[in-house]
Amino acid sequence: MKEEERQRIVAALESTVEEIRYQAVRRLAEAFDRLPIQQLMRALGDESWRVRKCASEVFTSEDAGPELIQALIKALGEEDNAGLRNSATEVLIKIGAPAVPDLFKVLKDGDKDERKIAADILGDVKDPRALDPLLATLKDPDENVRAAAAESLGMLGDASVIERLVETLRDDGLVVQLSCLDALDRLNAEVPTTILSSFMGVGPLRPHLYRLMGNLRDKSVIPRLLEGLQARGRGERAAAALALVRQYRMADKRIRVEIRVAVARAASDQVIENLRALLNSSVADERKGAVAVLGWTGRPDVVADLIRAASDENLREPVREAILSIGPKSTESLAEMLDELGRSEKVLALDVLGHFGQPASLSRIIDLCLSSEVEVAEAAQRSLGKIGNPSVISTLTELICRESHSPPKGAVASLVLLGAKYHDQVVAAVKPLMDEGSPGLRITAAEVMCGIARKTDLDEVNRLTGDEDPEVRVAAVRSLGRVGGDEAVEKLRVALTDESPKVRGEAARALGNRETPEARKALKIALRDGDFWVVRESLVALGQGGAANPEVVDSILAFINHSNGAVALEAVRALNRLGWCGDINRVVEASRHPDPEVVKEVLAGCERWPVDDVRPVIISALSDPHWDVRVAAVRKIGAMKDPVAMQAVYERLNLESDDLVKEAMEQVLQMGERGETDG
Amino acid sequence: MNREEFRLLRDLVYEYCGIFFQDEVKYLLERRLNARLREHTLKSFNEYYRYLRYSPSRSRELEEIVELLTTNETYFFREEYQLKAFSEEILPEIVKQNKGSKRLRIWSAGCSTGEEAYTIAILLRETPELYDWDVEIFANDISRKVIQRARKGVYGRSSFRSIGDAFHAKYFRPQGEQYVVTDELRSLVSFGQLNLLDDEMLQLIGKVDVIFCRNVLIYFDRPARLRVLSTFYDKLNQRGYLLLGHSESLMNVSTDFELVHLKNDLVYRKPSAAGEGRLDQ
Repeated sequence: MKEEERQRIVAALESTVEEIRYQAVRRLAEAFDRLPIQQLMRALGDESWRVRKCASEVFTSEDAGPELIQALIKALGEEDNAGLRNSATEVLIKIGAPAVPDLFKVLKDGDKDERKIAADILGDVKDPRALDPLLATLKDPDENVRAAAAESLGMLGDASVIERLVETLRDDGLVVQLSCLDALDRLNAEVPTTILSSFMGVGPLRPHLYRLMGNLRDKSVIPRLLEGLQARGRGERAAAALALVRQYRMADKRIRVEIRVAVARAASDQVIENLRALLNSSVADERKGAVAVLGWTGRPDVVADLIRAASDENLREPVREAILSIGPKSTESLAEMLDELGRSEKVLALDVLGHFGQPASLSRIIDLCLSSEVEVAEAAQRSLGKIGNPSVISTLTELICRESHSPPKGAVASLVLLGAKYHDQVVAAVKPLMDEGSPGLRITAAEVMCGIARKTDLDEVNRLTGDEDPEVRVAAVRSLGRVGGDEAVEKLRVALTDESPKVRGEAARALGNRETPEARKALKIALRDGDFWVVRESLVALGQGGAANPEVVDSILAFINHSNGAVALEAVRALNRLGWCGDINRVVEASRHPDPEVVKEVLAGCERWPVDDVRPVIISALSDPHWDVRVAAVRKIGAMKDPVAMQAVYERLNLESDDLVKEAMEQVLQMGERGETDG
Repeated sequence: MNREEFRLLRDLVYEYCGIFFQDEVKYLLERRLNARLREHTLKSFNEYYRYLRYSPSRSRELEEIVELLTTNETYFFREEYQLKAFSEEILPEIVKQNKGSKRLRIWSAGCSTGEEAYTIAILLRETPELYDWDVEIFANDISRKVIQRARKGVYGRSSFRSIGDAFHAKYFRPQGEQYVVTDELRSLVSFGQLNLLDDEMLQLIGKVDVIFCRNVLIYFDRPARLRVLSTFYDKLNQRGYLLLGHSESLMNVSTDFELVHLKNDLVYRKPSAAGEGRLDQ
């Protein structure tokens, strides 16, 4: 860029017009090889939030020289310009590790505001070197600084600080105590009940105490938490509910039953009201917690509230579980409410009614099978199948005849379900449609008949494998795979020559369930199919084979570099499933596939090889152009606990620009420091 | 179509499926392929050749050509004398041979639109000894289109020129102006799309007792015929029969099969206690 232009940009930073300053900041990066510190600092302290934000985004890690760091550290002390202080904080966090030594100096020598900000930044940077300085800061003369230090210790994620935090909790005042409790929660600390209980008299601490009780594998906290559900403060009630849910998730089956019984006993009207109120919380987790606990109360009078809560899509599954927890008593309310409910609530209600097999609402459900709302109609049809009453077979058959151009999935599924119990009746109802029906109806009828076929129906199934309609043949081949014995392999082999790739694919899938040499041989041949979906199905099927048969492996290896990513992926996946750990050079080859999913699958199977052999592959993946491959490589390194590879992660950390990858790296490095790893 | 174009196209088809066109049938190739040029709005056979080499739909087009060039009219109970030999002489022998296993497998190799396979099925249905047997007819062709027609099992009047009224009434249902095979016959036949020169895919066919391959080998050159016959040899059980078209013979082609003089026809058979001999010159 010409010098004139550069000067124009610099001049524009002084403009009185916000938009001009904003555009000037945006162009700073292209105007200069390295951002000019003076101009950057000016922009970071701009009166406009927009300009400040842009300035902190324009900056990159390449600009983080000592001079800039010094300027930013100095800005932390700007009493008159809060905007500059905040922006400088943001940029220092972005700079990360190189700024840490200077932050230590501020932590030691700065004024109280500077010390607090420095402690906050060290928590966000999560550099393990900050541990000791922050621990020392727990003795800072200023309460806010101590509180910031406590909070940041929680963010570092090092469990070795728990004891010190508990000490500080005992010895310090409310502000610091709150931060200690937050930090302990972040560290998933298991603080003994005796200690937590000693603070229960301090109202503002109680929500945090309840949260920590949720971490304890100690059922003696349950009564405390149940008391919490009756607390006056909304925060306490919410924390108690969430802690109960955490307890439940950690518990074994027996304790879970105990929790539910305890909640049911404690479910006074006041508790129910409190939980109902939580259903309207703006915090999603609190709503989820309330839903779960309401379900445990076993009270049918909460069903209406739960169903209404299901209008939030995120709560649908928890609500379903909660209503199922309440049990068959819930169905009366549901059946009464059906007409008033919205679409998604109706679907849920129908699902539950079917689950509990509520025959009393049968006629209403049958009406809903014809609902103009497709989801409701399907849910009603499925519900009929679950209720399991054979009287609905004719209704369902009529439905599929009526909608022959677009077969109602729910009705088909229900007929298949009913056919498991009332086989002959369903066959009698559906078989005539094979001869009389339209092509669409024939396919549907075949799907039902093949879906319920037993060994005694094999003749009919075999007949249908020769049908002129490929969709009928697909259903028949699927059925043959399910009910046919070894003699079916011959038919399935022939089906691999079908002119329809769908039929061939289905035949490959069916052969995958048979671990016979004949089936494997046929699948190897199918790998030569011209349709890549058939090849893919064959690879999946071969991968189910159990042990790594050398012939099969050789056939699969030929596909690990297939230009079609879906095929290459299945080949690698099949080798992983078979536990193959042969020539490492083939692994290296596969790890160079342009499709990132293939590379991730290669990484997933790496632990089968000696670490020294496979390390270069994984370390190389840390530089893959795809962020998700890099994340997978980082996680694999975490799982393998290899110090050399960990070092590679450490070295890459500052070069990594993707936030998710960086986060994964930090987690793995922290766990490595703590001596733990996970997948 | 000039000579170079003919040679290029002939070699391409040969490479695809082993079917070889002698120089004398150039005119036939040209006549039948002109329609394909029109279909794809191509200006010359040279352009068509390029299309067959590089187009993403080349496989489909090659199938189309093969069908166009090899499909001749066929009908039920074609070459009746041979079918008589099959039902009156070959079948009883096989029934005796396989009475322990009660299993019969027949392969209609190059089945076209299915008339041959269903004819065989009728003959089997008319053999009372086979009522409680495990019987299967595999019927394959290289062309997807003819296989689809075979599966449909719907035929016009010209297909029935040689079938007796009794069989016609027993095994076919009217459907408008045409007739459709009954389920009873369908259940005996499995159709598939296969190239007789694709050794690997042919492994999907198991061992058989009789192979019908009538008026198919005429389309192959000698090396291709030898390959196909080698496959047939491997697929046949001992004392299994090979039935070719009336104008076809294995003389000067193969001595692996023995020639059998039946009352109604001359057929080929894989000898009993045969070693693993290969086809010779």
